[in-house]
Amino acid sequence: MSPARQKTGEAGPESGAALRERLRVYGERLVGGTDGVFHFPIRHHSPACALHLKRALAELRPAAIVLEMPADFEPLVPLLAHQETEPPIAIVSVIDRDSRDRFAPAVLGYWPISDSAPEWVALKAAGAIGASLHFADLPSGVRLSLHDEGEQEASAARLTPQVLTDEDAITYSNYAQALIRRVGARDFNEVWDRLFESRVDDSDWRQFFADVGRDCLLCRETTSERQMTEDGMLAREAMMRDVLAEAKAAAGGRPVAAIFGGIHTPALLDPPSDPQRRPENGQVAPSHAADRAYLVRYTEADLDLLNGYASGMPSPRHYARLLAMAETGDHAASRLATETFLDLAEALRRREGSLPPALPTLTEAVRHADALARLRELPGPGRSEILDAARSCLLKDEDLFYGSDILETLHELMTGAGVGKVPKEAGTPPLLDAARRRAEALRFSIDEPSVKTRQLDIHRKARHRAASRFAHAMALLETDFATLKRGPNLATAKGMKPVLFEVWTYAWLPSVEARLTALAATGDTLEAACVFVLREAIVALENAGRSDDSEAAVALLGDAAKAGVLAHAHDIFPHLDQALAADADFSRLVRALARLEGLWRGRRVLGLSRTAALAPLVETAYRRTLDLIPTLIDAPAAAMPADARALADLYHLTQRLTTMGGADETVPVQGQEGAAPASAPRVDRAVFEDRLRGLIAAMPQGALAGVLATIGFLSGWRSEGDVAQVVRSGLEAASLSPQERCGPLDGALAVSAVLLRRSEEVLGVVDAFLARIDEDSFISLLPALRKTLSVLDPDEVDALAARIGSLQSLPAPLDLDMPHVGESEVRDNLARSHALTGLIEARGLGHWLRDEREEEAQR
Amino acid sequence: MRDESCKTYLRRPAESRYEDELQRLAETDEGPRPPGWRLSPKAVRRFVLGDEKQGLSRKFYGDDALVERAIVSLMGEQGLMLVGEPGTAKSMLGELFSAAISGASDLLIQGSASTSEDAIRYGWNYAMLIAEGPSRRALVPSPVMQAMEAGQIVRMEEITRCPPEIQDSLISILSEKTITIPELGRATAVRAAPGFNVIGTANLRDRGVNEMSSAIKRRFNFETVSPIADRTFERELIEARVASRLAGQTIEPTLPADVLDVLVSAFSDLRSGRTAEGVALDKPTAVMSTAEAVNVAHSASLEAAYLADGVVTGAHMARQMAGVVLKDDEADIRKFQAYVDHVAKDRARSSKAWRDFYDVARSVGRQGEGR
Repeated sequence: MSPARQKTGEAGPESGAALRERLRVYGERLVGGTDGVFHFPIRHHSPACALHLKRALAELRPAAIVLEMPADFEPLVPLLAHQETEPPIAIVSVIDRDSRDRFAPAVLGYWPISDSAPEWVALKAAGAIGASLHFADLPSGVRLSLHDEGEQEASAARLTPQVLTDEDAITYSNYAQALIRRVGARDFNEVWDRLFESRVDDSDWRQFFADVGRDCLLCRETTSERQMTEDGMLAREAMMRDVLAEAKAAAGGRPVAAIFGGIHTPALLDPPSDPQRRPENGQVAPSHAADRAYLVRYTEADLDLLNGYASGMPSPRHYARLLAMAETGDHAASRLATETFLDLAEALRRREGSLPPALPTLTEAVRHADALARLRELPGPGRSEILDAARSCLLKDEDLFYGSDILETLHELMTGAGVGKVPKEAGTPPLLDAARRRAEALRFSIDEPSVKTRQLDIHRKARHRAASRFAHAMALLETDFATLKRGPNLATAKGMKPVLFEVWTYAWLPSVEARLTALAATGDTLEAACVFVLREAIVALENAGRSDDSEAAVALLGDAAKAGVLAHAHDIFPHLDQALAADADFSRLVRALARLEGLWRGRRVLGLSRTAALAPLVETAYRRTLDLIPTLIDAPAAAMPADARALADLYHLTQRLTTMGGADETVPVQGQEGAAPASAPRVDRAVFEDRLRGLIAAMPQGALAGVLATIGFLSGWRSEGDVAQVVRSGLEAASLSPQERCGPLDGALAVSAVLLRRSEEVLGVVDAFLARIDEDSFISLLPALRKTLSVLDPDEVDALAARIGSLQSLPAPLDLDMPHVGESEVRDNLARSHALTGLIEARGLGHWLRDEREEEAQR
Repeated sequence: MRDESCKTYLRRPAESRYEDELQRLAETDEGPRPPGWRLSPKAVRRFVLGDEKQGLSRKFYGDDALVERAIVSLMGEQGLMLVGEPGTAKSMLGELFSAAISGASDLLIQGSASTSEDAIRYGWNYAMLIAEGPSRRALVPSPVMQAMEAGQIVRMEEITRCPPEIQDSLISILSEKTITIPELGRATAVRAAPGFNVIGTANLRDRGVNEMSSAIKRRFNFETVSPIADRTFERELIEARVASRLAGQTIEPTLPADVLDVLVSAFSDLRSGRTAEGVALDKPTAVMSTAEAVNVAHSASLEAAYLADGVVTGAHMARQMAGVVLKDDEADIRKFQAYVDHVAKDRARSSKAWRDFYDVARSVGRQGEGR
């Protein structure tokens, strides 16, 4: 039973009238200030709470202000009160999990402060009226350790920074959930908006806080005691009471303002009688401060509740604006909606490719928001009404899962893109410090911001490998510090000769520091920040409906491996498994397999020799591509060339996977010979060939037929004549388009580029065909033919030319020299050319020549 | 006009089905009513979303905010366009709004490829036209024209099935709120009385429908009605619907909760392509809407009542579901089989209802294979 209920001494269910009376009395006690303490129950980031608090503090002029913030943040008060400090900012708190292991990720917590945070208002007011400030919560380290213990099992979640201002206790209480259902709202935030943010213009702050307090009391009374103990809430509240008592004693009878999340206020007003919950006897030590706490700049986008950080309220810019309008007394009920829609129209006008809504549509949207507010019995439209009106009036189509341009722009506007400011004295965030120290240790020259080039011998030198990982990690964090100019390409299916060196250009620009500072709240070390960015990328893929994009998933795996953080990036593997299982795009899956195989080949240099998960992943991807082979026959005609090339690639991959076994094609890596190698992926070539035969039986046409015949020929179960036959039937199908006619040859060359030179029959077919057709047919076929033959590299072209020369008994080698032109002739021609140019320019047609020249220059 | 009392119909219009509720609402409704409205917007909201205190049943589940937005749209100049997948209760919602706002839901155009302009503007009684020339008496008003004169709501179902030129004839009506009748002389026009508006429904994802022009889109506010995502809601809804369908008959089949669970889970798993435990599934192309689930539960109940002992089992559900879901689509049959083999089989180990379902669904799968 709750403390308040205990006091009333009731046993049975409370009647409606009794409950109402109890709530009324509770509300009066909060703001009555009978013992000198005025209680302000708040929701973090709530503009209505902030504004009413501001008015109350100006009226009461308390001697002391007690805040819910962790006690170990108190040294940061001078920085917070600094005149250069501007929200959004955040206090980041760090504890090291293991001081011996320098790569062990730290546990992070952060306390974001927005423009509309009541705490911010209180901090400013304390300075203005000379009140003393007291931070009353347990040191942040205690909560972080609790959080860490709770998360130990879910290892992937361990690196998630914890929001110290989270309000889950209120949001998910049974009372709040019942309230949501009762008013037909979509979430707690909407209910809160209707109940309290709509009252930002009220004149009576006492009534306002009494009402907030009552609702929070009911939330607390419908939260189980077990949950409150588990969250460490009861222990924290014992500390809050102690600090409040000290502040009260020090104030000597002058007023004290107690500003706490509304869920805690009941425990401050009516302490529990049970002494077991005092922290001295409890399980946590109050002296457990964080290892570090520092102030960083924050962004409005990070503040957004919907952005996955759960740091309070959604749409921070909207609420900041509500506060600003209400503060200047400029808040006519519907003005905020009107202004927002006008901003939206302007933003859409600026945005390329968007059609801004017409004026009548905008008018309708404003009317709609207003009428919705009236239907919901609100004084004016709030956040939900604005979004609802936009959805009804501006979205002229089905509201699909992936959303619309207009609504996205509106969300961006209401979220805002603002970045806070912290004074110089706030120092360097650890992430930036760590990056700088690592760069220096790895001999990147970062003292001056000029662009430098560095070659890394990644196979033979361990230090260079470390430098490569650092550069890749910085690239993954999008710092623009380093760009890879040359290096091994893991993305291609064709066999690659091992590339020994990576060549990077890099520069330590101010923008690098800016980006690292922005990432400061995501991690204390490069590794933690990388893991965070990778997780964001996975979420972004899922949100974009691309959770089945196996190629993108493998690319992330490659990024993690190259940055050396794969061991920490646990989220990737389940995502990858899911993508590989769900991907139905054959060519994309083959590209994913090629990347995986590339990782396998480069496993030593990437430090993945002992990663047992890699070989099974290659096997899974391979099996999955085999499963999709039968579907190729039904694929749309437009996908055929890509599918055929992918099948040829799969053939090459099969060759490599079956022949290389466990052997590593890369140069042995010094210092790693002792590593126990993970066993090589095992693939079954017989199944591959079975599937191909099955496909042949379905009589494919075009490029696919060329690919299959050539693979069959090279594998020995089809003859050279079969290939020649397939190529000929394609070329001679006069009713098809030139591209389709070249399809079989295309496919054949995708499997083996040397086919024409090596196979007399195929070359004979092509040669005979070209000799037979007339000039017009040849010219119409030429573009497609050129494209087909463009897969041959220059050496192959020379060799083939020689072969054709001998076949046609031409004088060998083909004479490609220019006929001899004398000096005088060149001079005359140049003079003529100049004269012609002058003539063309004189007729105003000079741009013809220029266009051509520019194109040439670009080529 | 209509005499509903002396004759039974398969389906009565909403204003007659909910006559009591509407009357009670009208008596107690004190809120301001927009011109031409029978009820205040708040009362309309209560009528659709239900109110236990007043004994009003909930008629639309899942998205209260959508109902509020729709009511607000109907108060304005714009029409209301309800879009979404088939079987998401778009037409029912439109019917409820017209019954509550205008007291009549019978002004209805059922859009199809053969809908002509007469259905939107006016036609003629040709015998009379020939006998006495163009006159107001010879003119046959369309549902739209009737709605304009009476200040009521007209519904246009499946608007995208109408040819574009027919859709376009709505444009000027929605912006001018006037239909001119040049045959009766220059000054003759029908002007809309307050309370007139149009509710359209459309399925934008169907193949072979006509795209709406942006001019007509501009004159509507759009609302997307989604399938119900909340399983508890969906259960409640299916139960209520089946009960009301069976109400007119003498039978009383029992529909146990665990059997209904099988249906709701199977539909929701297949619709979302993911089970409650997070296993990814291949989604069938068949419509897996709540309305279809009601059809399955209804037929299963009938089968149990007339052909068995009156207790609906998982086996009944499986048989009826096969008819609804599989129809003729080979690919869907394979997907359903995969679901039965992987998910239903697993659940059959711990639940009788699932076991019954699995036993029958399995053989249904095999028949599909043998075909």
